[in-house]
Amino acid sequence: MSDHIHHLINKVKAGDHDAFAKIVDLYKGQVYNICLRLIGIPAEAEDIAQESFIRAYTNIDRFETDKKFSTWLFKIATNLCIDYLRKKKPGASLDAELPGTDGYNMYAQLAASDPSPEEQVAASEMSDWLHAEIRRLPPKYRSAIVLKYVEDLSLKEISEILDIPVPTVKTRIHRGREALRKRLVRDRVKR
Amino acid sequence: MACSKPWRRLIEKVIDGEATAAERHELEAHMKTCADCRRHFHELEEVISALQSAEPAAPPPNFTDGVMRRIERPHGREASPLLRWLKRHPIATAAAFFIVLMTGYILSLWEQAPFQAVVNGSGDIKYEKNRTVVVPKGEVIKGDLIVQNGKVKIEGKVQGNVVLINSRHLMASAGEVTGDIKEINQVLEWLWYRVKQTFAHIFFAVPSKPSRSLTPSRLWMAPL
Repeated sequence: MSDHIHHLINKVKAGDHDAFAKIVDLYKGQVYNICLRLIGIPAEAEDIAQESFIRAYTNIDRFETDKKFSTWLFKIATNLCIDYLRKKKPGASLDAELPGTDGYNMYAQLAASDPSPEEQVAASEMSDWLHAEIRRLPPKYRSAIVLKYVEDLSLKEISEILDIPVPTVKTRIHRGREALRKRLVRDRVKR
Repeated sequence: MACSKPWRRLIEKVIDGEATAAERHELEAHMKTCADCRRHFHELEEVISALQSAEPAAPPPNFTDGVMRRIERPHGREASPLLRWLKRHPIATAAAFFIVLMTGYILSLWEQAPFQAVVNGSGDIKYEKNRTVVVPKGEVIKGDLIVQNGKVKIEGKVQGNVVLINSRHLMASAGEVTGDIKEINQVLEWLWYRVKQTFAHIFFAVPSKPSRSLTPSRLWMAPL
C-alpha cells in the first residue's frame, strides 16, 4: 500500500496528473469524512476536502517520502477545517437557534424533511444525535474525537496530525468523550 | 458519574485498552457492587460504539473530477509550474530579476547615450553635421580621442588611441593615428570599457588613458 502510494507520489512529482487523480480516489472518502464530521455542512465539507487535495498537490514537493502520506494529507485537511471553524461566522452554523423559536434549530429542519425507514430510526437517531453533539464540542476536542473514533487512527498519528504530544491527545479524547457522555445522560433525562 | 476519581481513571484506562488483566478484574469486581461506576462505564461504551458505528458518508460523486478541474484550470489559486519553481528558488528568482533589470538599465544607457567626443589630452577637434567630429588637417592631438554615438574623420594626427563607442571611423580620412583604433560596438565591450574607466577613476583619481587591454573583452563579448 505505502509502496503503491509512494510510486504514485513520485509520478505526481514528475508531472503526472492522472497519478494524482488516483491518489484523490484513494483518500477522498477519509478526507471528506474528516471534513464533514468537523464542519457538519456537506457543501462546505466538500469544498474544504477538495481544497485539501489541491494544497497537497501544490505542496507535493514538500512531502517527505519517508513519512506517511495519509498523516500528511489529514493534517492539511484538519488544519483547513480548524481555520474554517475559527473564521466561520456564528450565523452560518446549523447550531444557531432560529429566531423566535425555543431550542429549535436547523437540525430539526433537516430531520423533518428527511424521513428514514422505521427500522433505521433508532440507530440513525443515535448517530444523528451524536454527530450533532460532536459539532457542539470545542474544535480541539472535536478533532481528537473524530480522528480517533470516526477515522480510527492511532494516538501517534493523531498527535502528528494535530501537532500535539500523545498525552495531550489522550486528554482531549477523554474530555471530548466525557462531554458526549454527559450530554447523552442529560438528553435521556429530558426525554 | 463514577463514584470517585481513581475509579473513573481506571474506567478510562480499561476502555482505552491500556489496563492490565489485574486492573480489569479489579474494576469488574467493583462494578458488581457500584451502580454508579457500572452506569458510567456503560454510557462511555455506548458513546464510543455509536461513534464507531457511524457509517462513513460517501463523498459527492464528482469529487475527484472537481479536484482535477481545479488543479488543471488554475483560477489564480493554483500556481503555474514556472511560479512554483520561482517560489521554491527565491535566490535564483531574485538573481534573475536583478539580471533582467540590470540588462534593461544598461541597454537603455547604451541606446540613449548622446553623441559625445572627448579629448583626453591636448588638441582641438571640430564638429560637423550629422554627429561628425573632425580632427582637422595639421592638428595634432596629444592624447586619446573618445567618440560616442557619432562619426570621426581624422585628417590630422592623433598621438594616442582612438576609442569609438558605437561610432564609425570614416575611412576616407588620410590622417594618422599612432595608437590603436578601438571600435566598441557591442554592449558588453562597452560595459567592460565603462567598468575599467570607473575603476580607473576610483583608484587613480585622474582620468587615465584607455589602456590597450581592451582586447580580452573580445573573448566573452557576444554580438547583439
